[in-house]
Amino acid sequence: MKRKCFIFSLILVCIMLITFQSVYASTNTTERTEENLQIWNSIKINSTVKRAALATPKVDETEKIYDFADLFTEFEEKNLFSDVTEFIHQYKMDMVIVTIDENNKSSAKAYADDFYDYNYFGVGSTYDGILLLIDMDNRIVWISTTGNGQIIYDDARIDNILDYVQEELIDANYYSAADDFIYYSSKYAKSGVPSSNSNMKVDDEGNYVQKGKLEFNSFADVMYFVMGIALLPTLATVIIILIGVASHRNVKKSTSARSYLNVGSINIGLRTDQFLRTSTTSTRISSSSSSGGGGSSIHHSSSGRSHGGGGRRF
Amino acid sequence: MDVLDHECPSCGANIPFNPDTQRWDCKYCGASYTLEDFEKYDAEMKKENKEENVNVDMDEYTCPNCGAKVVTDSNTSATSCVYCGSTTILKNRLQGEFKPSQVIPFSQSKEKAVEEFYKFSKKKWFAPKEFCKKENIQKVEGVYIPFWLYDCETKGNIIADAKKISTWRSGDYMYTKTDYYLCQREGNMVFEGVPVDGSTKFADDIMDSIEPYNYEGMKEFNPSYLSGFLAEKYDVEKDDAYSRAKMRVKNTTIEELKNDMKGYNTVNVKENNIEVERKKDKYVLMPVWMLNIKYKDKMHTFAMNGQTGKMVGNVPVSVKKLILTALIIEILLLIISTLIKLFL
Repeated sequence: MKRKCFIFSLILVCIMLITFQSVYASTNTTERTEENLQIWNSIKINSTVKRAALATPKVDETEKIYDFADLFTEFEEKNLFSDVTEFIHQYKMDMVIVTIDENNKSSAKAYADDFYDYNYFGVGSTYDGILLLIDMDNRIVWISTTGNGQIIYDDARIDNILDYVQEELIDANYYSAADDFIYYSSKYAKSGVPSSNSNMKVDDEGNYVQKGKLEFNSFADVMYFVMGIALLPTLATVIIILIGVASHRNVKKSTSARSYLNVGSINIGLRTDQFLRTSTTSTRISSSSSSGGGGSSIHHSSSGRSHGGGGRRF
Repeated sequence: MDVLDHECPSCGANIPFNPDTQRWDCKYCGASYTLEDFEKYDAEMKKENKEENVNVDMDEYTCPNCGAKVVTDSNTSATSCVYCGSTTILKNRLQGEFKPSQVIPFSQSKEKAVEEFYKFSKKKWFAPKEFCKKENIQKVEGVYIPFWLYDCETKGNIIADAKKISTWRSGDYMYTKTDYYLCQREGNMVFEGVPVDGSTKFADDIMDSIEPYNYEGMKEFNPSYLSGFLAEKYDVEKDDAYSRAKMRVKNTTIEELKNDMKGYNTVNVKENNIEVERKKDKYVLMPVWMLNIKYKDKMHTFAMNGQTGKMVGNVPVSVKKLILTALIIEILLLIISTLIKLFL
């Protein structure tokens, strides 16, 4: 009896532990209703938005890691959360990691964009941020960027990040994949705006647009403008002045007597050209892969917002 | 008194050489003479009074026109009297070993030379204003400068390392093939009339830069050509001056032999053995327009080839003018650049 009691209580504890663990590890979602869609006021509500929003889980936007597919352990999730928090704090951009094992939307791209748009994510008026979606249903990994994220992460950078993430996902190292995502995203955020996007910006609506010709959003912009205008003229001036100064000097000791050579008198009596040896060297031609002259590829989600990013199968 | 004064055979006034007409024109009576006329006149004069050859004090002479004692440099052979301005040729400085065999007469008048100097300084953007003033340029003087001309023959050989380099692409690789050769050339050639300035008074680099003269305009020497100009006699012996000619001839010989090594990408002469043989030498006078301008306590010498008109001289740079010019150019270009940036 005692023994039965013990086993029973053990099972009970186990069940409790498991339930507790799963409750902690799983993601809390709240209900959306048609009357209360719980989305940003800036998104204009129409039938498409309503349908898409209702099909998107409403989550607590402070959790940042939404492991619906249960790919991370509790410990891993904690680690990721602290790294993501640090990223958000340091680069003033939001970061979200989502895993799903069932995709109720048309594509991983649509899910990623909708998940970001219909929850209270994003920093600042243009909802700057970057989201990683691991879609186990389609076996697709998707990165979606919003607001200023579209500027920081051009196609070349997204491609690079996906290279690392994809490699880990193929080996089913989900935590490493997420970890790599945070690491390389931070790296690029730190190096700032890529040259391919140096004359692009996000407007007030978060759209990826060309900068005006006389638009100074930062000190670097002013410098860039001044350099663009002054560099060539200054160089030209220096060259002109140097030519002018050089024209002042025409006195030179002569070391040649060519003008007095009787050309007809030249007589070469002996010519020997002795071949000594030969050597051949080879160098590899590196196909230069300079990071994107192409900038960022942009699309619009169901909410009407502009997003950048890209994805891969794994 | 062994001074050759050029008197007009008809009126007795001073009669200088006129580069424009290449004759001797008298400004007073309008008579004009050729070299032959003078030689005839001189011969007649000599018949009349056989002058004894008096040994003159080298640094002083008596002006035959006004009688003043004029002090000259011991190397000056033609000058003008500081008191009356009459031109004088010191004959004994043009005799014996100092007698030039040939001379190239001036081909421009002083007015033309002044004009050329003026144009020259105007072309220099940063020339200080002292250099553009006509009254400074008026000081230009025609000087016959002593030159040694050497005829040489060179003979010798050079040894050089030569490389033939070819590159091609195959797949992802760039190949560079270098063939090494040891080349030798042996030959001889002739140089004619290599000039070396025979006066220490004038800087070698300026005299080098004023070359070349066209030797076809060379005339048999006659002191009459010096009338109206300054002239110097040499003070560098022909054997001493020869070393400079030899160096130039040797360099050019090596260069010519090297140029014969055709079809190589690089040729590096590592050994040379050139013998220079002096065939002939000649003492000649060459015409040079000289101008000295003082700027910031330093004398700047300018020279113009009296035959070809070639201009030589380092014009100092006025910092004030340079900065001003730079600013103007910069501002203009900045405005253009800004306009392009804004409207294109």
